[in-house]
Amino acid sequence: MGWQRKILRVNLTDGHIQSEPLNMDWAQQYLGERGLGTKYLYENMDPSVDALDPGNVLIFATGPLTGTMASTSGRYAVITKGALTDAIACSNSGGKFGAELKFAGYDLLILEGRAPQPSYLQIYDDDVKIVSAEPIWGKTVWETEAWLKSHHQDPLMKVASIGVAGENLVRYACVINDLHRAAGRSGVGAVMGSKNLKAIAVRGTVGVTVDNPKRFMEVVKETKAKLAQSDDVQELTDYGTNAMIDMMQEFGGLPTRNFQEVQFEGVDNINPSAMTRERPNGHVNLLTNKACFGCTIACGRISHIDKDHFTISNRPEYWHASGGLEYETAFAFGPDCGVDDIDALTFAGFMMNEHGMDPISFGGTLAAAMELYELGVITDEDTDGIPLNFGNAEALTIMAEKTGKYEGFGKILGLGSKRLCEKYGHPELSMTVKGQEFAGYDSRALQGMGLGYATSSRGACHMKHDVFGPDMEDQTGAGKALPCKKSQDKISIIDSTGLCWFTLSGWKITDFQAQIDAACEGDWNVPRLYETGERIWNLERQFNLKAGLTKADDSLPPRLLNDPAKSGVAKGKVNELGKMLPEYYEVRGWNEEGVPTDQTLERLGL
Amino acid sequence: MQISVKLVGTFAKYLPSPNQGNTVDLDVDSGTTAAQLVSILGLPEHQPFIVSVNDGIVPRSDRDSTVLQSTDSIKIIPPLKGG
Repeated sequence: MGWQRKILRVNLTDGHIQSEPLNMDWAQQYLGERGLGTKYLYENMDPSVDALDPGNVLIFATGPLTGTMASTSGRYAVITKGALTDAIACSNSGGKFGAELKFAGYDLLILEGRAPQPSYLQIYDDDVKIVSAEPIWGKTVWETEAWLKSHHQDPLMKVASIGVAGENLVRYACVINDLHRAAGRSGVGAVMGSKNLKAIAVRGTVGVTVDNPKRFMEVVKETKAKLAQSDDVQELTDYGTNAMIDMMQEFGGLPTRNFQEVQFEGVDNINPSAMTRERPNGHVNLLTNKACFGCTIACGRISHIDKDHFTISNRPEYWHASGGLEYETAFAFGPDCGVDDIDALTFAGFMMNEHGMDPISFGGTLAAAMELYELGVITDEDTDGIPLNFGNAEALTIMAEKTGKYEGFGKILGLGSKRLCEKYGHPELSMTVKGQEFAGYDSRALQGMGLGYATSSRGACHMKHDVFGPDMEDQTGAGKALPCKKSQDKISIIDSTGLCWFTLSGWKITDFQAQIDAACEGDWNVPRLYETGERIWNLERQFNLKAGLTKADDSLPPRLLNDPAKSGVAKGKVNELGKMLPEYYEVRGWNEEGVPTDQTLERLGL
Repeated sequence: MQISVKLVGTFAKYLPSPNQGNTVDLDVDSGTTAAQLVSILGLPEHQPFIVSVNDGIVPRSDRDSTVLQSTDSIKIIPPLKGG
């Protein structure tokens, strides 16, 4: 088992709801979550339709290990054509929603069409209804979740929803579940908004089963022990992901002021030490850490803002604790916008969660706008009178709220960096690939990361490959193509399990293999897992090619290719994508145009 | 001679006392190599951390032959990971 063997298909246009058997042949070829969701997406829509057209399909997918006793088993993925990228989107999230969807008996939820009026989907096992969202349309994510739990008198209900940003099709709107966990990237929340779907509220009582329970429990015990004994995992628990900010600063790979620089002078004010530092008034930013469903790592941060800070001194509604800084949030609001006010960063993070937006893309877009402002391309007349200089903490917080509420210049910021820079005649200032903003790793210092950014199916993303080891060893593009390809295949399969890939801090692929093999029917050996990952990667490529993307979309902005890093270990270097890309296509079994060859497709059964 | 070493981020836990922030001044023999410094600090050699001297990475294979100078800017950077 592992799979529930059942999917839920909802046509929002005509209100037709049906459950149907999971295609088990596809399950054996694509495993679950990202892989299986991609297969269903590919077979159920025309990739060339506009991302915001009712013809786009929105899939919520669990994995065979979602909801099981395995550590980090709370993951689910949202798969669709991305509103930000016009490419395939696969954004996964933790929290508890994914496990609850699985408990309701479903491997996948497939949403088609567009509801004639604002609606939400209510799932109680087999009892599924499309309900009017009139009382919650226009409400924040936090208000929506509270209202649904109160209205249904069910505090244990799990909710995934969009905020006003998603309703208004902010291009990087995300889906938020459990208040501050996000399927964050590529604009999957805008797609949900385009379908007039405000929320999915789910309760499940079916539970999960696995193929070999005794062996599964033995393996789970062993793998949990490995996580518990890992120093790297302990660091994630103790410091959270923001530990990376010190490392990237010293390495010289911390993108600063829209990637004009690679080191940030204010890093000591926003790093993990700053989060735990007691201030003269006794305030400490970080309160505790937090785990997602089934997780034994607990990398999440829970923070609160100093009540004396300008953002909330007169707003007691924000005096509570909520999701704190993770590395990508800290990077995108901090160095990339030149801001070193940790309370401002935390408040802007609250805005992302409350209104449902991707902090990486918002920060990257604001950073581009700040550069345009400093160049004089846009002025106070464009920005509602707010000076958008780098380092302006007030501008960061005001614009985060304006974008979340879809007001004033926030509407322009809601376009994303690519569309914003094109609007003002400076596309070269957009730090994006396929329209998606970079994460906090500069690809002049991390060459393989640059190749991963350029070739990621969903645009610039740091979570679809792992070339940190080779990138630490040398700062050239030599020998990066094969490890990039292999790690992409590996992560494609991990993303298809229902587990979190932060477990790689303590596990090897064999640890995933043992759990998959015990939970699922079939012989799931390591070579088969890599082949499955490669199949998933190539199917995503096929989707993008049918969507109209070409080799030209496997690129990096001119700044990273032409302007040398000013400091750090890669001082004087640019990214060597021109050397790496042909080698990458070759190891992928793609032709010179980046198209999988017939031989590759045949080998993978595509 | 005396050298100054910065242990970045999570590697601050390997700082010997006394130290200032995440930097420590160490008295070492003239001719001390990067590999010997790693040993002196008790760093987990199985981990792929970075030894940086004057903002240049010392490859693992060169640690034995890299002699440290008192004027060097030395940093130990923990393994880079996603997040």
